[in-house]
Amino acid sequence: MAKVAIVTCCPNALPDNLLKELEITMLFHPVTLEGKEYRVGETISPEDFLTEVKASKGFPKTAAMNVERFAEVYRKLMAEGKSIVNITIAGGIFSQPTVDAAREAANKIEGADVTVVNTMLIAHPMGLAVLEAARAAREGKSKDEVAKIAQEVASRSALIMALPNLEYLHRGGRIGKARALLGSLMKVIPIAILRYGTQTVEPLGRGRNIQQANQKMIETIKADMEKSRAKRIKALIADVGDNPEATEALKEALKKNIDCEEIIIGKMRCEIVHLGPGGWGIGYYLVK
Amino acid sequence: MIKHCNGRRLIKALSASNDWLSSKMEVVNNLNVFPVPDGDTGFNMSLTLKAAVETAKELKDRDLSSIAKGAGESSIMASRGCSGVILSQFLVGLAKGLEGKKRVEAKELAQALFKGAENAYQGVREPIEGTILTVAQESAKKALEIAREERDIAQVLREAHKKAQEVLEKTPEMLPVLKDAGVVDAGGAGFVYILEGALRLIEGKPLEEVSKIEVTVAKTVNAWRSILVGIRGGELRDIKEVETIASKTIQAAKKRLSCLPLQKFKSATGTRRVVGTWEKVLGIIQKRGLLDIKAVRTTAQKAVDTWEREIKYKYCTEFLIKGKDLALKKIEDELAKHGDCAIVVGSKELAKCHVHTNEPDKVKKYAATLGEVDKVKINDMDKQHQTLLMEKEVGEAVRVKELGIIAVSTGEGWSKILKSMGADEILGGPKKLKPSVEDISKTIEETEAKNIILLPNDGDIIPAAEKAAELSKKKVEVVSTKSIPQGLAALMNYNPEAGIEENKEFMNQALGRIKTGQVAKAARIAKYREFKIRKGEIIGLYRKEVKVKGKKPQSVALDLIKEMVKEGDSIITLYYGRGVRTKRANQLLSQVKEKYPNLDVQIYFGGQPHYYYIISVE
Repeated sequence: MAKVAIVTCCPNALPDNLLKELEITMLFHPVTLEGKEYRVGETISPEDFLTEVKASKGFPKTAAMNVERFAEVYRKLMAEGKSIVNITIAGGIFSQPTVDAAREAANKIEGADVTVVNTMLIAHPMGLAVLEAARAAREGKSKDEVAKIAQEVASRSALIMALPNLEYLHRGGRIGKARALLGSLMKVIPIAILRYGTQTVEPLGRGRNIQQANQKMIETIKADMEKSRAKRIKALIADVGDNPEATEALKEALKKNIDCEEIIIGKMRCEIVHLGPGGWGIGYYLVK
Repeated sequence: MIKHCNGRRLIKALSASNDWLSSKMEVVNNLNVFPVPDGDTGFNMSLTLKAAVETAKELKDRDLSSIAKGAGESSIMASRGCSGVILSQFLVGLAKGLEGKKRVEAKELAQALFKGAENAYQGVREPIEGTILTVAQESAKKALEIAREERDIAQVLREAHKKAQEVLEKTPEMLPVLKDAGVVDAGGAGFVYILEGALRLIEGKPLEEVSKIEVTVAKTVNAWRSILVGIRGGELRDIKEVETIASKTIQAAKKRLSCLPLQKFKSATGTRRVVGTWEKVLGIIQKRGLLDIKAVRTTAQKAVDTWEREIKYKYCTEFLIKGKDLALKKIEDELAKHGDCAIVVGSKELAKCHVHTNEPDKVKKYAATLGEVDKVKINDMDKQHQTLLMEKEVGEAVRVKELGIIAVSTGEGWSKILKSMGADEILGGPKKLKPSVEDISKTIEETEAKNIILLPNDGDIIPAAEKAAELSKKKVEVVSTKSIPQGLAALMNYNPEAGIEENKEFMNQALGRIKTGQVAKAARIAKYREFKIRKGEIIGLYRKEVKVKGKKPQSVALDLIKEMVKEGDSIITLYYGRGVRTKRANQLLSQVKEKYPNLDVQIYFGGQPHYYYIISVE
């Protein structure tokens, strides 16, 4: 059993089997929809939540994690004699309260051996950072080494999203510069990117259908690989649950066009709030 | 070479600093987002300095020491706002440095400047780097360093100013709040202008400037123009009121702009009024729930959100306490319990207090226990803040874009689609002829963007577009789109965050992927290869050839699509023209969908003349 425990929160797009296998402790962000609070993946399944979202006239919102919930988890893991690496969602403008809570919880507990890693990212690429860190922990790497790996993976990763219903990102307050893609009179799929450290979602363009959207993603990843002279990537792809054909097509397109060390099909939970119905995305890590 | 500074020269220098600072007042006001958005830093600093200058001018003792002391003391009384108070502390420190002197040389003056900066630091409860404090201190240090060798005061001042400017530009790196807001520190900027004023006097440069204000007003006008264009281009009907107000506001702002040379800085008030109206418009839009004006709503929402996040203490509270044996430090500690930004300066007999709090009454009550409370000023920062944010948003909305897109259209449906996909300006329309070089040139110059990409959307317009591009002073690139569907394909790849070269490349990549065909009525008898075409017959064109002919537009369209669709294609898009009824068009849509169940089929109203249908396959 690993001495270093990995803690993270739910927007990581990792599939259940990997989370379980690697003993990753996952906390669920509270999500509200029409006054009701959910923890997607815990108190409600992602499928049911998506149905609720589609049936609702309102837009869901996510909330930050509080100190106490982190503290609770830290205490439990400490009792098992573990050091902790907490890999969190993007701090800074994006979601500082969660990062602060993660740190404050560590300060609060005497003797807590916790390193908080702010990935500056969210969802799929954060999942990749969590995954690599958990694997390192399993190999018996030290807490510092594990944290370093998480940070390093994050710093070489990005998230590309296809957002047929861009309004959700907008209403969730995360649209950033991708605002420019709002308001199209044609049926299009806006495509946006969140890069490490930029703290804003940026537009990439639009696709008329899944095929074009995926092509845009592939082109962007290729350009990124060229820029940082990476030969291979690791990819984590997932849709919000109602668009498996997009994920499947993306997987095929990846296999065909890009040298992938690993392609994981993941699962979205509270990410549904921002990606909205029909949304899918890819987190990719430029392997050195 | 200026070897020494005496009382008379100090008055002149302070006076010049004051003139220059007040001419830059609005610039400084607009920078102010730290520590809370008072939005009046320029105003506060200017009034503080003004009092110092006026007192100094009236003093009977004209020697350097008395002038400096008088200026410093009177500035304490007059000081307002965080930066104003800090400035007064600087002046008091400067006076300490010049105490007992009739004239000083460069070295002593630099020492006095340093003393001023030191005193400013000590006057603040929690000194924060990246503010006026850092700017003052670093520039004073520079002055000291230069004055070791240099005897020319002008040169010392020049170097100190240069350093101040450098440090000012680094303030966003020191303070994340500034970086987020995209500004430098306002108080620091005020300090730079104060040094600059004195320097301009020495160098014989004018001490006022109007251009910045002109820019502000011009930007406001442009903001309204773009809002109007947005409203008109949208689907909204019930917005007459919004339009009327917007139009009036633009007129008012323009009028003000036209008489600027006479009014100079009063025009700032005008700009404020424009902003006030803008807020009213927002109220109307929100009340009626016109959700479609996304940009407008976003602006309002963002303002509210930022406000809620940033302001903890609502009231900027200032007052004087007259009493005996006032313990300044103790008063400050007490004020700090009620809020933040607590500053208390002055003497045992007179304390000037400043605090941001939610409990101004409690603060006042406490002050009353110490002595006589005077000159109470309580400002609701909520209001100041919102106005400031509005101004900022307006500024952002009209910041001349890096890249603008001009697209040629042949129908109202197309125009709307092109705009919604990111085109900034549309050329042409159903009734117009193809645009001339002059038309295109005019639109290029009118489009508020530094660089332009032109989408001619017609092979026949490409040469005129290229000529216009060549003639323009702006950087203009033509993406050679030969049909509007090709133009739309180009816009699909448009990335507003990328540069012109990159976008040209992205857009060109899209062109090859799309095929365009047209269905029209033959205007005359013709012979084309195996076809004999009678006047009034319907023909289908693709790749510059008549591919099919028939009696009805729908059936010709179906035949033409058959010619166009090849393996690997995934989308068929139909754009129907002015002469086609929606019902008919939808019938065609159903037929196409039925024939091509594996392809994505969409239909849009293009509104083009001449062509029943324009069809794209990709």
